[in-house]
Amino acid sequence: MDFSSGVRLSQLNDFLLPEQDCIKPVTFKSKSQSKNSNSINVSQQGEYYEVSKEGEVSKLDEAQVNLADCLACSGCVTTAEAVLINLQSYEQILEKISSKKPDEIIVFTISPQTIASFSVKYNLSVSETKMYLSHYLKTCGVDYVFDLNFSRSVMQIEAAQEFINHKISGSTTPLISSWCPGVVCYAEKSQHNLVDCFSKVKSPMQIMGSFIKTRSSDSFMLFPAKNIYHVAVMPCFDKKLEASRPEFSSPGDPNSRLVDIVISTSELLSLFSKLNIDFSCSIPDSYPLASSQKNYPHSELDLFPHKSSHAGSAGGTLEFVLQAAAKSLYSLDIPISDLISPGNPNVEIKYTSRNKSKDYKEIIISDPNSSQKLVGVAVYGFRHLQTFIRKLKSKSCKHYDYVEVAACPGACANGGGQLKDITSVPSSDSKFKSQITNFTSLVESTYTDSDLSSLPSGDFQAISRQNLDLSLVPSDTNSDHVHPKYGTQLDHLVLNRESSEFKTFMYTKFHIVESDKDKLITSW
Amino acid sequence: MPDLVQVQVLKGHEGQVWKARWNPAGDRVISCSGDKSIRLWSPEFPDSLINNNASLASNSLNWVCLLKLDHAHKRAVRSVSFEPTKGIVFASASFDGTCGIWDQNYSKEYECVTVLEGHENEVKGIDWSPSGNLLATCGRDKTIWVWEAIGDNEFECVGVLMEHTQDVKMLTWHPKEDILVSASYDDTIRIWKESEDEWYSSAVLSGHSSTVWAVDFDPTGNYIASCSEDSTVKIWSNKNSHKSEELEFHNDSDWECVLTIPAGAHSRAIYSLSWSHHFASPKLNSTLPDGSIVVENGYIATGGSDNDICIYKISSHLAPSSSITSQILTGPRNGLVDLSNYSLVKMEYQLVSKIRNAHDCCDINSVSWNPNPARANWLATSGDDDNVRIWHLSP
Repeated sequence: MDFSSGVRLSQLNDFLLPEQDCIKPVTFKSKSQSKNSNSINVSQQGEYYEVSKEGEVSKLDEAQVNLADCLACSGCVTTAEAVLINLQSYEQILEKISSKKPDEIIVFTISPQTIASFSVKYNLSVSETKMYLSHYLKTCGVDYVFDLNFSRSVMQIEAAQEFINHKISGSTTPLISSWCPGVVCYAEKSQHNLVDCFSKVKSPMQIMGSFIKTRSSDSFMLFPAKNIYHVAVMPCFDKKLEASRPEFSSPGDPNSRLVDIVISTSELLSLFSKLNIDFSCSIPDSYPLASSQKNYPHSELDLFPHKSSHAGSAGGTLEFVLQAAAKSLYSLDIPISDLISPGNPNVEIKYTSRNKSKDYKEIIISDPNSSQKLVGVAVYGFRHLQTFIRKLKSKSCKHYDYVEVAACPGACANGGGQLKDITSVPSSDSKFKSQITNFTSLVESTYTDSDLSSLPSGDFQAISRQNLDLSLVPSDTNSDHVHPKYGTQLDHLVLNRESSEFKTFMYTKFHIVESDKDKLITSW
Repeated sequence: MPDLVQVQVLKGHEGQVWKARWNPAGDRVISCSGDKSIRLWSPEFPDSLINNNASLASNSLNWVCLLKLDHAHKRAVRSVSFEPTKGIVFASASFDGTCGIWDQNYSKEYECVTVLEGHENEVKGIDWSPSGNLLATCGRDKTIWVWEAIGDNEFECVGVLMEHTQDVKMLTWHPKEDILVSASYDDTIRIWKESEDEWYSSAVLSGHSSTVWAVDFDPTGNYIASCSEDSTVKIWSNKNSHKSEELEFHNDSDWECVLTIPAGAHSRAIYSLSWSHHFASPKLNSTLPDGSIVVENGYIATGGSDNDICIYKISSHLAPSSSITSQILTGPRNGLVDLSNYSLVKMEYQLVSKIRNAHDCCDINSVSWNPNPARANWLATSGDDDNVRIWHLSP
């Protein structure tokens, strides 16, 4: 499993020093008050039974380590890999589909990078890809297929507000984006000074979880959280770690996750192949195809104006936040495109790494009416992250205002969970390497040049008027379900911005994981 | 028969000495230790360090400790490396997880001017590329970090390489090009190259049956020597390196082990190895009737947990390539061999010197030949006896 560099660096299997305690302290239920020593028998099935002196036999629970435990530990994520495979695999989804009860629904949220990846792999247009994905999932028994761009827009609007408040408060430290779980995991374990600067707004995936799992009168989602099985399809494996964070459980039901399971884009393909769905075959003629889109002018896919922002596959949060802040703080109207390519006299775009890499970009907005500047920085890839961390520590980036960080070079189109052009790649062969680069850059351009890169055109109200189902047509198999109206739910929330409900819905927190390292330091 | 003679014992460290290495000019030795200090040593009269036996008789070989940097790190200092172009600045790697860059201030005193952080725990190896532009570090977190010097003793991380599956023990740069070689607890050696601004693992050399403790290039950069916990030394060659102008260090299959020095001379783990700088280009020894030649490739020094130092003389038998011209058949001029006209038939070794209990009954942690060809006979070693020792090879 290809975790990002940030996550991989934090995983260690020790062999020189005593193994760090990676298993959480086992808690014992004191069932029996008896002080008598008991014995433990192992059944033929390999189950453990405790036999008390009185002859009472009770089955013992297996000690379990889950992902959340691993995240809370400073040691390895190695153990987590094995756990991940059990808890967050597409086989789980197959099982869920086959054992689905009448009062349960299965909801998929699809990331735009996933759509871009499928679109390039199968040479389909973006809208065709969305339709195919939605269609095939629904034929498998999935009830709703949602577009992550809906909640991403919600996240971006809130992140912009958070940043504007941050600037108004006069804070001198940069605000750092926290939607990349690879960076969050690395920072919590190894770079604590980053954690203090993190944006507290939830990631788009978790905000989607909030919409889906928060039961409210406006949501029309009449099912309790535990009856909704929410699957997110993401470009990276690190999102599995994010989904397992303890703070991302459903309000009112700690046993239900906001996102029950994360699979990568490539695992979605595996899921399809397990279900004997050949994505390269066209869908039946009876299904309304792209040409008949006009018959569904108010289709569920209509998010924001179907317009590409040309922002990169990181998601455009940096550009959107800067645009909103320039408007709010300087009353400057700057089109997003001016933050992506040069041309605007008030905007300077600089590539400041040694190799002028696109993965370390500074966007500087100057207020023509004052000497003030807004500096936004995009830092993608682990090594540029290191450069940024060095600057943060040496305080040589005091002028940075907003920093968007991602663990993967080139950000999310290049995520470890994306489809690969070729099945197995000899890493040493540079020819294959450039083939991969081509595939990834095609995915990137498909993303940036389509509505997958769309950014919110206004405030929450503009979003709330949109629906978010990925499909172009209402699901034929689930017409009896009441359709969720997340827009109405959003309207309600925004009216109560100061409520704890809003905070729980939109915000999260981070944990500093203290290292066990110091405990183990020997005299040398 | 060449003979290795101990010339000086440098006492002072208060803990095992992990590494002793020469500066680029070869007139100073830097050492680092479990006592958390870094020391710099020099003969009172550095000019006495020449390649002849007469220098051994000279009384001017009194070595002094020029510099003692106590508490250089919070934990043991595992390795040090001089910046090669000027030979002033040096870098240190420590078990405290950090690397230090040390430079002289206005009053010529060394101070730590930059700390490189990033490794999760013990940093084991550090080496500066010959151009001085790149600095590589490796450690217990299985990673290798490549840093680029961007001026003013500041560095930018240009790569974090995670392909090794275990502890990376040591790394070293190719003598001429930006090619890196690393040795690991995963029993492999990896070759790393840069392409389009990205560092990648271009080859894996498997053959050792246990931890690879150290690697070193020969002065031409055509061969890699490695030593291992399995008590053997191996020499690896790139099949294409003699043929093409640019080194095509591309594929695992391009690499072959051309020589294995079996366990025997060393009975236990070999921790360190160094390829001498006697010949910048292999020296012609003899020309055989069939036009093939025998060349000398210098000496390999090894040391490890059996407390012995071994010196091997390395030579190779080369056959002329099919396209060879009559001019070359008359033999190489000036004793300098243009390797591109020959291909390797066989590489050979001869144990020429063995010092038992070179650091008393203690492990030998490092052996290091003087990099200056005019001082190539000088060897610095360090061990668990807390000492650095200076040796001279009389060829």
